[in-house]
Amino acid sequence: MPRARAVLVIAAFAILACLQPGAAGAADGERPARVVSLNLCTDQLVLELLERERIASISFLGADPRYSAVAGRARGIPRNHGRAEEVLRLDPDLVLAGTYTSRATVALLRRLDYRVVEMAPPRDIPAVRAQIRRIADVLGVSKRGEALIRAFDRKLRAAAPAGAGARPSAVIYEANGIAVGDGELADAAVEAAGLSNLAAEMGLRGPSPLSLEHLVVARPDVLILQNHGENAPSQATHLLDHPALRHLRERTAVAIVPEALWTCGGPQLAEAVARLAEARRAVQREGG
Amino acid sequence: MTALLEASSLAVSLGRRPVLDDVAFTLAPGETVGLVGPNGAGKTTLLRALAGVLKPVRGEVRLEGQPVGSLPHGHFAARVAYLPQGGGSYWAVPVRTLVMLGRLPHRERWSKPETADERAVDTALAATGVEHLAERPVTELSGGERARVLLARALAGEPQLLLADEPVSGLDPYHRLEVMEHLRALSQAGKAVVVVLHDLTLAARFCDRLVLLADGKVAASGPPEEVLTPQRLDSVYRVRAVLGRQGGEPFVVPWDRLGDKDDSSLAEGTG
Amino acid sequence: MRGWLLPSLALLVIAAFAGSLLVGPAGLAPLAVLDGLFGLRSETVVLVVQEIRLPRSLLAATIGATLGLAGAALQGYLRNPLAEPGLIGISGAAALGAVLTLYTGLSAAFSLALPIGGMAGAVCAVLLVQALAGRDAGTLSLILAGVAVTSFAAALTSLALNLAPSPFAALEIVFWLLGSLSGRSMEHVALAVPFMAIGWLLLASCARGLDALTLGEDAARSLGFDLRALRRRLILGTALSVGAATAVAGAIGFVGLVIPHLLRPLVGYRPGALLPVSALGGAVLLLLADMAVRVVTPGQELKLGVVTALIGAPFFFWLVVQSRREAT
Repeated sequence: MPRARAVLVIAAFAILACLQPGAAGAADGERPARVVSLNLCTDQLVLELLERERIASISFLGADPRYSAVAGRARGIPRNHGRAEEVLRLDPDLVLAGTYTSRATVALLRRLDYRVVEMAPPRDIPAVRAQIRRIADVLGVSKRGEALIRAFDRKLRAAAPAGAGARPSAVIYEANGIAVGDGELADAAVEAAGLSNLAAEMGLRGPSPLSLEHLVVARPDVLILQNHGENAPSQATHLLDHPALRHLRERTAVAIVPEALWTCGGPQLAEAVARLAEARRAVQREGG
Repeated sequence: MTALLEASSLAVSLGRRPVLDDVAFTLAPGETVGLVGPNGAGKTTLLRALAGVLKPVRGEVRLEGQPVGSLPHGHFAARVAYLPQGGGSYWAVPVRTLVMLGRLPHRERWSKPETADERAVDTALAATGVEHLAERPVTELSGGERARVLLARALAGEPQLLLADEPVSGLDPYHRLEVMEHLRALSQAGKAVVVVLHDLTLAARFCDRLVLLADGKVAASGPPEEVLTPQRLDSVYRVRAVLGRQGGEPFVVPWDRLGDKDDSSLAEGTG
Repeated sequence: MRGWLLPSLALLVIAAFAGSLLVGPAGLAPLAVLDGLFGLRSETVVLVVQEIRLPRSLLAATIGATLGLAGAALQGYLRNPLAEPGLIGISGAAALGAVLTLYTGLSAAFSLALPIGGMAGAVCAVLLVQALAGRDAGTLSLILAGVAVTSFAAALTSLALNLAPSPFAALEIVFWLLGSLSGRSMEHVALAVPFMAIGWLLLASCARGLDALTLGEDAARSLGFDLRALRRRLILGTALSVGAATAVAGAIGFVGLVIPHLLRPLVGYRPGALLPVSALGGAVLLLLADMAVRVVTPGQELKLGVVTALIGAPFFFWLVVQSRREAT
């Protein structure tokens, strides 16, 4: 009996060893099989590019439709909150992280010799392409990456203005009275759609407070909002219900671009640009 | 003759504690009645009940035969002034402003003081000799000055009846006599005064009648010399006093403390 | 009271109100503002003046008046110069009440829920402070009770904000604890001003009773005042006005402390006479503070409570020293 038990134990260990994903990953270094993503933006790229069997975990934000454009694909995939313990338990062969998020986790994983790839948020359109290409390469799906970039570019071309005519002005206005100025991806999207970002022209850089008064006086042709006003109640979003802004909404074209489309520089950015271009065309049609 | 103010079978409680029981009281115009009795006998409580500040549990207070509760609003306040014990002002209002508060029952809501109000205040200030203090903040006055100002406040309402709770406490002999003379002048002018006093000589000299309270009941009532007998001073106050007359007026000087009841029983027990 | 005081304060209110309409990031010329007020300029100017600046000035004036008036009334009633809606916890509890209705979405479904929440919070605070400190409260017990209620309300407010579904809610604790008029609209005016006005009437009706209370409770009763009725009016008036004010602007402190103190000597220390002048004075102070907020840091506005606290806190220090000197 004792001997039989020992054999069983050894057999069990052997089976477990074969099941170890690390062992499998070592055989195919080019194609990571257990990918963990810690950041909303890498989440979305992973969900776009990779078979779900190879995704070990994504961040909880990547599964939240308010922030993620591909939340629908995230069903059934384990979620993490960017904590090291969660990652170690999954024993991934590749960890994707943002340059600003989960810093402590990333440092710890590096010390433990995990393969960690960091991704900075892109600030313009070329950076978006470069990023898709880089992550696709890292994931070992370069071809899929190129296809994604081609689709992205097709959509952008369709959204671009036909001639070099006058560009209608636009302001992106967010909760708390924040407008997006120069040097942001959203600013690049506005420009790509053939609009001129009024906040950037006013000298604002990055997300900056813009008073309602300024906004009303500046009178943009297109007012870009993130949703129709169906936010959970707060003072911050209450400002977007201000009668002066409601008035403005009635007089100007309004483009609704959900946060999920342009929080990250993924392929979904092209959809944001398309919606902005639609608003531009509406303004131009009205203007004659 | 109807009494100006009367109370019959009055019972008053403070919280749940019964303080007065079955107290009868009458007051005629032109009369000064002193409420005397040891600490805790219920003098202040009786005065507050008479002033309508405390609601009796039983019995009622009548003003000229009318139950106080049935009088039109403000009627009682316009005719009866109450001077609480140790009164003062919470704010540094000028004397004249404070005295004008005594006119509140006579003034319409939202109205400014009228000539009649100003005149009444002038008269009250003059009667108590504090005209020169009119613009001084009340909080800066000496004890004697403050006592006279508060009296002026009560008089400014031109009451028919003044209820004063220990108006001389904390005053030196000069100012005690001064305040008592003011009260006597009032009753001589036909008004009635009820005054709580601890100083038995002042009570005996200045009051027409005394009501001696003990343990929430009237122990005696009548002319001072009939109330302040050695026997009552013994049984109610537990003191032996020197009684006498000076220039035709009585004086009462408490002299010896009698042993406590407990002490005496203890003494008997051990003796 | 000196005859010139009320008219000159009224003039100051008008001047500060006009100034408040003139100040704004859009930099409109005074004449344009005047025309805009009467709808005579371009749609844009009219929109800026009527929908953005006017509600803000109206709220600054009415909320300032509320705080000044409530401070003066509470001080008169409690006969304590440190009683103030902010210090004794009324504003904090009102903010909590408003937070509970706003972030749960109740006020989105039923807009009156917001001021009602604020008023309910204010009533609870008054009753709680009275229960804790007692009716004839000394300064120490009153302040202690106020501190207890304020910090408890602040803790519950931040808890409610942390649990709120909105991602912005947690950051808005500053708004509720310090107060602001940024982004307020005519809707807020319509929600708060009627309740504040009823509260003012109730508080104003206490004037004579507060005068009488100068002599103490017994003397006031003997002067024909029903103190229970007075207390009811005072509590209700404070709760309605401060509750509604806090529900739309957060808890703005110190106005009710500073203004009655500055003006008390000018009305001969009469609590009743202090009420109208404190209302006007409060309006002036808050209008000026709200102008300062917009002028000093035009980009990201300071919270209004920061400015009133910068004025009020040193004042409070001085009062503490003063009361210690009196005690010794």
